Amino acid sequence: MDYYRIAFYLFGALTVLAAVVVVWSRNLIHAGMGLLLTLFGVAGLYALAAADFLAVVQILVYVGGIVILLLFGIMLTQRIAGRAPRTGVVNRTVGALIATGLFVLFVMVIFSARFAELPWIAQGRMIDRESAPPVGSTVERLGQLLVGPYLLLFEVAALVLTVALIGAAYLARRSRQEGARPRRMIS
Amino acid sequence: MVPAGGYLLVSALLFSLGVMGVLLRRSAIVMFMCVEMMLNAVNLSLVAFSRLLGDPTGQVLVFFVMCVAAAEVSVGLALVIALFRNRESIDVDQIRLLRG
Amino acid sequence: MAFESLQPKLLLLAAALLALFTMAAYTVYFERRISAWIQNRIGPNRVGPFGLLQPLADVLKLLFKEDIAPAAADRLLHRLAPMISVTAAVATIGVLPFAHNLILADVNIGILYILAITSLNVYGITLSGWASNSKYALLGGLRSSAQLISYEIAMGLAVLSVVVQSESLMTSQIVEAQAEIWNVLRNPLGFLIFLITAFAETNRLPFDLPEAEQELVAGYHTEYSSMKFGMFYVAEYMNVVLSSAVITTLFFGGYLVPFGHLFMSDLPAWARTGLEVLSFFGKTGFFVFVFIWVRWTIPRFKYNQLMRLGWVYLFPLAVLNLVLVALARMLF
Repeated sequence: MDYYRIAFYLFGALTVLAAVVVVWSRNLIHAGMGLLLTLFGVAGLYALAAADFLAVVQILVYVGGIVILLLFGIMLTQRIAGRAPRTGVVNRTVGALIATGLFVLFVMVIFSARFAELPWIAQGRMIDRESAPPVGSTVERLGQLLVGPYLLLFEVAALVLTVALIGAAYLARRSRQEGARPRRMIS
Repeated sequence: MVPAGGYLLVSALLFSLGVMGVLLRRSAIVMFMCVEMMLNAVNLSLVAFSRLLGDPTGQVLVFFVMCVAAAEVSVGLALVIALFRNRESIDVDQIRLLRG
Repeated sequence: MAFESLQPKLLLLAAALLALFTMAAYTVYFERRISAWIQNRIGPNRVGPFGLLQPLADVLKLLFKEDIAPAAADRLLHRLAPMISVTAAVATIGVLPFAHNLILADVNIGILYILAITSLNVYGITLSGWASNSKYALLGGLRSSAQLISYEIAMGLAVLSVVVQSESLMTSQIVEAQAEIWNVLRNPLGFLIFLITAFAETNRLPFDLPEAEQELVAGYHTEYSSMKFGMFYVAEYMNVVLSSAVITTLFFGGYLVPFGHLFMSDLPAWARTGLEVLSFFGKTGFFVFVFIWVRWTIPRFKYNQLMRLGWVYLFPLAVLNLVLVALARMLF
């Protein structure tokens, strides 16, 4: 049992358990904290799978940005200092059945496919832990790919983000007539 | 080394839980969170395959998925806030009319 | 990986943690002494010689206080928030180089790791604000999350300009790249931006709106008492120490001894390491002093001024600085 394996099980368990909290917790803030831990666990799994740059970006973008925005959304859309933010659960049986069925399907696919023996992977640059690329190279190779073959996509992603930002600012802004109404939001 | 199957199993569990959340919950914000979980599940399997193949192209794809997720959340939250301002509720079952 | 290979790292971790906690505790003491000096008072001088045992007395006092949680508080999050604050602060020491080859984990994404961990700081404050179920705490929490997110962008851009100059994300290589000339001389604007954003990220005085006493009682930690309050307090001072250490690493040559190339090669290895550690902590100590000095000199900003400074001035300035640094890198 090496440290690597122990770390994998720890992060895997953290990811899944926290995801269960997101789905089942009726308290919105607790669900947000569950999401935070899920994303953290996924970042740990990235780091274990030699994607260290992605692990850090995951924490920077998701944990430092997206979840904070979601928590902000919860705090702004619930009556402040009123009742706890709770929501109910609906469609119990149907939803659980569909999700379980999907999971069983996934597991069957994973176990019957035997990915490691697929010809395109076996013929590709199959690596094991010893011959894995040194950890130092991931950032550089990723950077070269991003400004090399994927430069156009990279620029398009920047454009998408800018448009989304402008759109979000426009949507969340209150229009002139609305501005006359008493302010409910605390900002 | 943990075989790719381990990563794929975690990914499958995460995705199924995300689907379950979207189906079970009626708060727009929780549904957002579950969509994020599904995106993360896909990213995780991409990273696992990229590791299996020894090719970082999969990680580039994950990078773009993260960009799209960030854009999606900012617009989505703006929608939720606008919705709350008009309806005082973010329960998607109560939002049935285009005008109201 | 065998346990034996981890042992030196564990020893270093213990030493670094001890140093961090001691420095944080004595930063509190020096803050009180220096503020007293600035304001023509005497300051704490009763406990031990020159009041040097004051931090110990403070901790003991906090431990014996009653631990109160408001009746309507979210108990779990109320308990968790100060822990998150301390953890996010402590985790930074992992990638700080104390001397040549004296670093806990010289990962190749070191400086990004620092940025990522810094972004976790928001949670401690926001959650404490929410969990206390008090309007002062909530306002403090909301203010601080907006403030931290806004200033993180300018901070990230300032860090990026340093990364462009040193062509590496590894903290050790960023330090080594300053062997000829410190980054503060090559990139003064970046240093200025980073310094200002560091004040904002640590919630220190020109930007301490999350806990503005006159408006919000004590902001996010209004409802905290005993050691839970103590943890927020310690986290704040650890953040001051760590920000100073990061400023030293990024802009002031980290552990490099000034004019070290003249005499360092003649010294034995242990003396070199010792001098480098001394130089690192000396520079860090100086910036801790700057933090304290600024706190007792400049009054608090208003909230709109804070946001204006962050978005209208610092952000475009940081982008401009990054472009200039990149251009200079390309041309020379």
